[in-house]
Amino acid sequence: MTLRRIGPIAVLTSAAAAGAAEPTQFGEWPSETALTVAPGRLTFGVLSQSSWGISPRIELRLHPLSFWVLPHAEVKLRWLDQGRWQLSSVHRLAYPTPFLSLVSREGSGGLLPVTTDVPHALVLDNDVLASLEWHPGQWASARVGASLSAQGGGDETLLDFPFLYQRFAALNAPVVPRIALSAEGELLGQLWYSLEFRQYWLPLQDFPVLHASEYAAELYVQLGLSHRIGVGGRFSVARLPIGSRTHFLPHVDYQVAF
Amino acid sequence: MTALGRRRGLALAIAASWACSDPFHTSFADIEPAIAYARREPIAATVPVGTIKLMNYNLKFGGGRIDFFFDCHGDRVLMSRAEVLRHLEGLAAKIQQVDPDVLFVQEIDVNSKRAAFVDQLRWLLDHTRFNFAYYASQWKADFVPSDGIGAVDSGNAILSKFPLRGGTRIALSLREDQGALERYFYLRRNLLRAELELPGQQLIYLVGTHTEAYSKDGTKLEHIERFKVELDQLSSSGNLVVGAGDLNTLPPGSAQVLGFDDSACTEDYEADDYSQEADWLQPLYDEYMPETPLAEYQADNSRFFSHTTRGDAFWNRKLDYLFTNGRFVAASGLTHQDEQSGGTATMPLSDHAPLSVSLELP
Repeated sequence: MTLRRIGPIAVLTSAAAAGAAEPTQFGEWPSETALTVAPGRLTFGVLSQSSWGISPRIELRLHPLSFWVLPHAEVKLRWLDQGRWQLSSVHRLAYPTPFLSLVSREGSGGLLPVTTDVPHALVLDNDVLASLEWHPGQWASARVGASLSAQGGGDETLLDFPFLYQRFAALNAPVVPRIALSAEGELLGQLWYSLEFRQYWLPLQDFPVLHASEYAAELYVQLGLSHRIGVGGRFSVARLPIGSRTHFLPHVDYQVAF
Repeated sequence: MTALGRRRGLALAIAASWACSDPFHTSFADIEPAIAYARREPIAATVPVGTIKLMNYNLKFGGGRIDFFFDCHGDRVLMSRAEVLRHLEGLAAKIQQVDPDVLFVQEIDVNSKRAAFVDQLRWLLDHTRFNFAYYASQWKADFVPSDGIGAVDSGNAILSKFPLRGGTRIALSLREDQGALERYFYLRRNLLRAELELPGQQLIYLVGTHTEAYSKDGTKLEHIERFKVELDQLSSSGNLVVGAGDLNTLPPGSAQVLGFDDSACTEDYEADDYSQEADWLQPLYDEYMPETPLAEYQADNSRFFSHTTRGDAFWNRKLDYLFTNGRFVAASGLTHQDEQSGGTATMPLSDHAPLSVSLELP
């Protein structure tokens, strides 16, 4: 085994060992489960959304950087707490117009033509989320939801960029339903994992019903209660107007909590 | 880890590596099979006697005379489906009027956002009298993150009333005067080779191409030379061969080689300055029969002009060609410029005029 291979493992292992004295529990970090982060806890992520536990049953999320080009807010409401069973709803409101205006440009970075008359639009996402702790520290979740939009005037804004496609499809479809299945839990000491399958249906205007499936896996190294590093990737297997396509998006994230 | 686990891990690593190395699926092998098309309900074709008619047409992806941003005459990027279909109907009507046995096309979109995702090759097959086709993409990307272009799949095709076989996409060299990122999303030009099966005849080898237009590093010349090498190789084996396409340069002896009145782009590089390319096609003219004899062209360039970027002007240069190592029927070559030369107006249909010629069968 070369040093190049050993290096990242050593970093992850030592980082895990450093935080081993402070066990991590669900509720300390934002998750794809129906659990909300602990009241008063505030987390920030470089790539992931930041979260704030407003009360034992309410979590507020937004991304502080992307917020300025894509204003949005998300709230998770925990309706049912039966110990191993949790039930929440997630609601997200976004105003994508500034982002669409930003990417309507000439030259590099032009995801839409510069001549696009970008509409004023609101996108509303609503999901119901149920989670089961099937083993201590191991959660399985199912999520059902849909994306809707309201917009006034402007041109069609078919944003056919990988991964963004399904997330902005509501601008070109009456409704974008989706389901998700996920599993999260402790893997080994301070190593945690998250697996997710997500399926979108894309009933776009002028096209037969299309779909996109996403498979995500992420490994977290908990560095005590206040820091964690996530390394993972997301595969998208999608049937789009251009045909069936597979895309992969690796990512590394750093999160800090207060 | 078990052997099975290692294999799965390796497969996953290869898949991830592949997805990362070509995330937008823009690349091609050096040589790979072309994509075969066939008419859904074949129509009987009259067996040719003595000659077959050939045609070459750069279709401008069904863009008609819309002023797109890349020509610097306008700012359009995308077309509606209705616009694309209207333009295709005009192109199909012209093709039907000429009624060739074989059609070489350039800039045909099969899956592009700019052409409303209309498969233009499928549409043409279903709306003309061709039964078979091969397609070789020269610009393909799941998404071009520039100017709002988005998904694109555009290239060269050969359509035929008679069976085609052995369709092959042969990659041409890439430009070296671009940065890595620009080159990744840029055009990947090619030779499209196929074999035409005529009843009772030896195979006829067909080679279509669309060579580089904008390079400053000699790539265009490399493409023209590689085109000739392909014709030479097929010819040296005793085959009857036809080469056709948009070669993006002028014939030897052209009176005007720069300063065209449709030059609207004001960047530092003038794409339509052909002053350094005066003899680039001479080897082709020396060894192959063109659809228009060179002496005839040199006597009056304008009758053979086949391109202009301005929709409100008239053809002002010749960029399109047909060559053979056999014999074209004397005086059968025609540049379909307008009603007087070809029978219908072609200026509204594309930024190129079609050419046609009859090939003598051995």
